[in-house]
Formats: sequence, structure tokens, C-alpha cells
Amino acid sequence: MARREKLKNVKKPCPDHEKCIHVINLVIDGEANKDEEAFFYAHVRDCLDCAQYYKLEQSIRAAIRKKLEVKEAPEELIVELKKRVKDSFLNPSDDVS
Amino acid sequence: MRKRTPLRYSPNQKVEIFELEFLPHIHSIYNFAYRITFDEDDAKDLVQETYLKSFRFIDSFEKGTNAKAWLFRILKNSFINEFRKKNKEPVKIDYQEVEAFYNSDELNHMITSNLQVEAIKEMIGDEVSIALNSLEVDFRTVIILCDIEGFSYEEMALILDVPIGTIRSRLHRARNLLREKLKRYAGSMGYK
Repeated sequence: MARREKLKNVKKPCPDHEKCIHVINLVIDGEANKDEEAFFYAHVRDCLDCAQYYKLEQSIRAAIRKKLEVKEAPEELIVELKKRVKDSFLNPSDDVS
Repeated sequence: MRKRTPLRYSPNQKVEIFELEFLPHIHSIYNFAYRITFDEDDAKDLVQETYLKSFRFIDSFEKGTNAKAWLFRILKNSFINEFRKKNKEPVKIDYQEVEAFYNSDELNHMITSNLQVEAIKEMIGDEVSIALNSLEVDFRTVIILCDIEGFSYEEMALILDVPIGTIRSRLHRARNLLREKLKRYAGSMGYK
């Protein structure tokens, strides 16, 4: 709650939001270097614009990971592939293509 | 992923690599194929072609390395070189439109202020899916590879055969476009 109050008190727009957006995405993707991480922790968490953007991006990533139906390969396709590979193994002159 | 001297695995080793290193990724490969083709039969064909190619060229795969990225690269090449040409008109991205959108000054502020975390949490899978599916295939691809499959930028660059800088900018654009689509849904749900 204290943190939320603190963020509400930060009314100034982010002075360099484009740079922050770039860094936030690198941090969420696990691609940030040490300097970028340091920048993130020094600025982004205390800037309302950037905190909102960070939370929004996280929620979009989570929605994509958790809410999308995952299509699984049909069992018959797996069986067919195994069979064709085994056939070419038993008879190497067979082309798997 | 790089060209190597053929390793000449024995037939037994080939089958072992195929079953232990390639097949465990088949559901991810199929899911990706479905998300870029929107058709179960096309996805099946693409996956079959990918796996048969993987076996045919297995000597260029180094056992114990990144089989998943290797398979995704074969799938991407099959999609671009054969499937896309044969079955569909090549998907062209209107970069002018994208650039105009991307360069609009207030874009990020506008989206951030109009799309709330709560709206995203309320969305069901279909709404997220429709938004993602409405992106051009090149943008959809980087979102899937990064957010669903968890590939690093470097792996994505290898799979898609483009520089890392292109991956970064393509992801950035894809995410801006996806937020815009989601914002429209959020608006229709009554969120402001």
C-alpha cells in the first residue's frame, strides 16, 4: 500500500519514456545487461508512467502464456513419423522424404 | 546451427537422436505451425516436413545442442520457402503504415493510459488469440517465439536468420501493434 501511495505521488511524466520502454522490455525478456538492470531498478520502479507500462507488459506476456490454447500434435502424426524413421533405419535405402 | 563437417552418426544413433532430442519438441513445433498457418492440416504437413528434413539432415546436427532452435529454424525455412509460396500469397507487411503508427509521438502514452492491467486479466483466451492472430505473420512469429517458446533474442536471430537488432525492433513493433489490438478489445469491454 505504501508503495502504491508513493507511486500516486509521482505526478511528473517520465522524462525519457522511450528509453525506459526499451529497457523495460529487455528486463522482462531477461535480455538486459547489468547497466540496463541498474537503470531499471534506479528509475523505473519509482516512475508512475514506467511502473504502469511495466505492469501492463507483464500482464500481456502472462495472458499470452497462460490464456492461449496450446495445440498439441496429433498422436497419429507422431506414430507416422516414428514409423517412417524406423523404416528407413531397417532399410537404409528408403528415403524418408 | 552452423555448418559443420558431417558427423556420420550410426543408424542407431540417428534414431536415438530423433526420438530423444527431436520428438520431445513436437508439440511446441506443432503449436507454432498452427499459429502461423491457422489450419490443422497445414500445420500437420509443416510438422511432418520439418521432422523428415530433420532426420534427413541429422548429420549436420550436433548431438546435445539446441535441438529445439534447430527444428524451429527448419520449420521457418519450410514455411517461407515452400509452404508460403505454394499455398498462399506471400504475406507483405505494410511497413509504411507500421512506421507511421510506430512513430506517432503519443503512441506509448496513449496505449499505457488507455489499456489497464485489469482489462487484460479479464480477457479470455479467444480474445487474446484473435488479437495475436490479427498481427502479420512476421510480427506474430516473434511474439510466439519469445513469449510462448521462451527463446532468447540470440536464438530467435538464428532461427529467423536476421540480426539481433532486427529481432529487437520487430518485437518492439509487434508489441505496440498487439497492445493496440488488445486496447480495442478492452474498449469494447467497457474499460477505459
